[in-house]
Amino acid sequence: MSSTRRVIHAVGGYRWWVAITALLSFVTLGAGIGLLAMSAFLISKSALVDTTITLALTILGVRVFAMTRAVSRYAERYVGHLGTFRILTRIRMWFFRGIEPLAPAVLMQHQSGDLLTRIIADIDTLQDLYLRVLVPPVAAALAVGLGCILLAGFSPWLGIALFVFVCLCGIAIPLAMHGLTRSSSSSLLQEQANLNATLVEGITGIADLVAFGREDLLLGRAEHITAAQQPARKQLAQARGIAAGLTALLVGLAALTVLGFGVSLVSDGSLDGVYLAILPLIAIATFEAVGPLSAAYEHLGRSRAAATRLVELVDTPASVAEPSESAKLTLQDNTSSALTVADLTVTDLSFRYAEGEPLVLQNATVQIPAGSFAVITGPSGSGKSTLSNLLLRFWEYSQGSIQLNGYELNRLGLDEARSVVALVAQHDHLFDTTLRDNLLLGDSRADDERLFEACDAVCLGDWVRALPAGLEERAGENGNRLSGGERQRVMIARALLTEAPILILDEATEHLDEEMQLGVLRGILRWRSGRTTIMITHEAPNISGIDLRLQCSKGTLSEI
Amino acid sequence: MWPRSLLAEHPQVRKWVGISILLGLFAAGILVAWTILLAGVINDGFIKAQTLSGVLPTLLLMAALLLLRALCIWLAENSSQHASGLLRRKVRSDSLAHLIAVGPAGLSAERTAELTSTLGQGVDSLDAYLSRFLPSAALAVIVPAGVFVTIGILDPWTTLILLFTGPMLILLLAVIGSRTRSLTQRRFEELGWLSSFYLDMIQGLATLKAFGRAEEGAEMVEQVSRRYGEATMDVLRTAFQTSLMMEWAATAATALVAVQISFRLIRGDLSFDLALAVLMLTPEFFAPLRRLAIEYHAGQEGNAALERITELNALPPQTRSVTTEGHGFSSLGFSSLELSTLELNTVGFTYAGSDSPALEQVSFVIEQGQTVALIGPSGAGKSTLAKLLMQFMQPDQGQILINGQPAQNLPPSDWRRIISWVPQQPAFFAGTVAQNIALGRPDASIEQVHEAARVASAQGFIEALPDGFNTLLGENGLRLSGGQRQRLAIARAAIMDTPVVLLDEFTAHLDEDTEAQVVAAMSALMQDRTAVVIAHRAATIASAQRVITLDGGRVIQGQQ
Repeated sequence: MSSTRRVIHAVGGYRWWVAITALLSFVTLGAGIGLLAMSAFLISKSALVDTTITLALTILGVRVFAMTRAVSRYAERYVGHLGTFRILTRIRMWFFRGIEPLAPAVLMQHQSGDLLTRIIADIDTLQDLYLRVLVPPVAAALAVGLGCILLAGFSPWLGIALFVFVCLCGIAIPLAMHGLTRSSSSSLLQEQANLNATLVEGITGIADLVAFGREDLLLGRAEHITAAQQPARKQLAQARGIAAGLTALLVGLAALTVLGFGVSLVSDGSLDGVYLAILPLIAIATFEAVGPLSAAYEHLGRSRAAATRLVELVDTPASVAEPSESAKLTLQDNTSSALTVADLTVTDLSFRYAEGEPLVLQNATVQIPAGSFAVITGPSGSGKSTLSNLLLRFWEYSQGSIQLNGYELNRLGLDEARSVVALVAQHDHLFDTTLRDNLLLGDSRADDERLFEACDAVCLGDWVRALPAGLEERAGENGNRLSGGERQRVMIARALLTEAPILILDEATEHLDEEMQLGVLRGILRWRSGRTTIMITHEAPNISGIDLRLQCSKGTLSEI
Repeated sequence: MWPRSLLAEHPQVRKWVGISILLGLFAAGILVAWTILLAGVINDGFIKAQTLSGVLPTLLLMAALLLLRALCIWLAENSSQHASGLLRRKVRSDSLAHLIAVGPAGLSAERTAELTSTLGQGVDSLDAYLSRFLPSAALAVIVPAGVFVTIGILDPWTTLILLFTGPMLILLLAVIGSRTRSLTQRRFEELGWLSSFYLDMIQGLATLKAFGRAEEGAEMVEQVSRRYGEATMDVLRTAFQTSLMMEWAATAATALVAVQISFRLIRGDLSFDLALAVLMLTPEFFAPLRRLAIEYHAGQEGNAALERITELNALPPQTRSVTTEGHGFSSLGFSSLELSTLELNTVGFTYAGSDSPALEQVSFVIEQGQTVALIGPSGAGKSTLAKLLMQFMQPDQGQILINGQPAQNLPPSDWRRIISWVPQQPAFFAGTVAQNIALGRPDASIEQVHEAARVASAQGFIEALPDGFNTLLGENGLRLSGGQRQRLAIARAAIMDTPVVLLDEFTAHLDEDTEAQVVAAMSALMQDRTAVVIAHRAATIASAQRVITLDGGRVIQGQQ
């Protein structure tokens, strides 16, 4: 199945919109044919009669067609766009849900600028799939049918002649253009994605580029990509120009052919001369329906490329799959209250991020009883953070076992497994919204009092109270309006609010000075009331109450 | 207005747009002549009852005209594409060069995604503006005037109807156009906002998952996409209303002309061929205006993008980066050994929009080879000082002096040979590890890259990567741990071999072992060099020869 079809079917709900829009479009085109034909007939008839009374009906017809055309054009566009935007919203949700299982393991192989292009520009491109690819052929088929039948009413040959020209213009030219532009369209989209990726990367890292005198990585690459787009754009323009020129040529030739036919029909007496003017005008008006077809193919090429890029990502297998219903276990028995304590047992766990990469965990074995405070120390790259990635089910493990209260972690539902662990990690994200919204991520039902309690626990309460907007203060793009320490503590407070039975602090207090670090840790320990706390750090904090000290070295865990 | 200044600045672009408009005019002229000939042939066949062979010469002449017209259309498309290609490249390069000159300090208030969409899609939308809107606008003025004069010669009475409806249409277009303008502006802002929102969502997807809120993310995507669709619909509705009015006026005028002419035909005031020619020319009077109404939307989009680009280009440059210089190290202004002192003389800085200065009366002298730790609570002005030292912005008051020479007198390329930087959150760029280490010295040999890695204790982990030094880094080197990123940043600074090094909290992410190694390596490297360290950790502060304490933007200790 082609990628455009795949998207159309996955999202659905388009048939009625397309049908209604095409019908309205046909009414517009038909009224155009009617208007020109009626007007020409009116003039021709006027040359023969000497009273206006016999023309009253024709005059009325001219007026009705004029009004109908204007109104149906408006309705067609309005309905068409309204429907398309509804569908685009559904495509965005489909795409977002589709990439959700891929975060972060698969998505981190893509630049976020590239992902951004897909969710915005590529999906916007699909707008044309509905309005400019699906609708025009249907409307054109109806209108061409009308035009040809009208002409065939005068002489079958006239109908056939028009049909031939219309097919040349509506099918042959677009097909040829499609062949010409297909590769250009997709290379253009790819270059656009490259450009966005370069821009995001360069603008994000502008300080480093300026400091090291490598502005060319942004400027030079962007210039290079812009220049690389040029041939494809040129070719597209070339194709557009040829198509427009040929279309204009064929419309004229069709009118001339029909007229020539008509003249000979009139001269041999098989056609009343009063109808002669109508013939070329019907032909010209019919071609109005054909014009959008050549564009339809160009849009189809672009839509297909865009859809392919969406489908390609959505179809990437996720690193972690939901266990099948039959194999699925659940931690919670029939009581609906959330789990509050969890024993964690890791046995002989070995893990590598990809085939061929070194093992980051090697037969790691550890038991952390519910409610204990464990500190895992070790040098960078020793596999400490990998453990939290596995616990959160961001990556799949296949060798060894991780058990929660005796249940194997990878047989639990993903949502349930994740609800057990609250993680504060180095690469966590703060959203560009208010502090409140960021904190509510931890517990959507928390009131202000509760939010401040959590802030107080991480020594952040007074700071928030002193902010002009308090909890409504904006965090900025990934928390960039906060200092490193404030950012870190907001993330800890957010994790505390979840009440998950296991809290993991993965280098979460590294930005804080020693005094602050101890203050925050004491706050966390007071807050946790029986929940397991695992602190992953370079250096064990000088604090009492540590139940378990573990050393992580070259992928193995050992107690110290 | 925009187009005027835009075209005035780019004479080449103006030339090609001009050619495209001329060709368009030529095509329109041919169409008028062709239409008059068509009416003549119908007259010959209907009134004069001529045979096909009688009208054949005229038909052939008309076919030739059609060929000529097709050629004009094709060439016009090519020239306008040529023009927009030139402009797109120029505008993108100029704006990016300006953004780099504005620099990291000046851009801190801007959103990455919004800048990306302005410089990516925004600049691309100039394409439609230049190649479709501008020619349509010119033709919409000239062609109706030409058609008007032609009809005036054929039948002066009909011009009365056109005289009444034509200006009314233009007035209508202007009134509705001004409404569209503000709406398009809003939609463009909305697009920038949408980009930021999606980037935030994509980058935070893993966090949303960890908190079990991915489904809420999908719902927010729906809401935001709806809102964007509604904003777009608001703009489009106005655009459709414009075209409804245009369509209505044009078809009504055609109907009116038809009826009026038919009355005069009956009375014998007008000959049939003139009547038919006028009837068929009337739609051509409106066609360019209608085309303009269709392209108006594209024009406004380009206009909004231009406004935003102009706004960006108005941001004051804060760095002194020169983007066209080379990266050779051959002609040092002076070698590292000649450096004797780095001096800050009563330096002050106040951020735009802030009342209180971020730095005030900061003065100190650092002798060659000294390691200075800069400490103080957050908000004390350490980061501001770092930005000034890196010349991301210039002090409001006082001077930074090197060997007694004001830093701003040195060309930026020399400044980069004096000072290199290890930022708190280093950004890495798409490319290999080796390329990222050699960021500031792309001409460095592989031995130099290895040596820099060795100095930063990074060699071990780099060689353990799947492709060693040739391993590709994804966006921001996401697969690296915090410690690994820091060490790469140190290697990147080490390879610069500058007399001064500025380190921003360089020990923050390193474990004890690595920290010790790096401290040792750095101090060996900095034997004859000057180092300024924004320090948080006791070990770093202890190893410094001098400690300067900042608070509230002032030096409170260590000034000498």
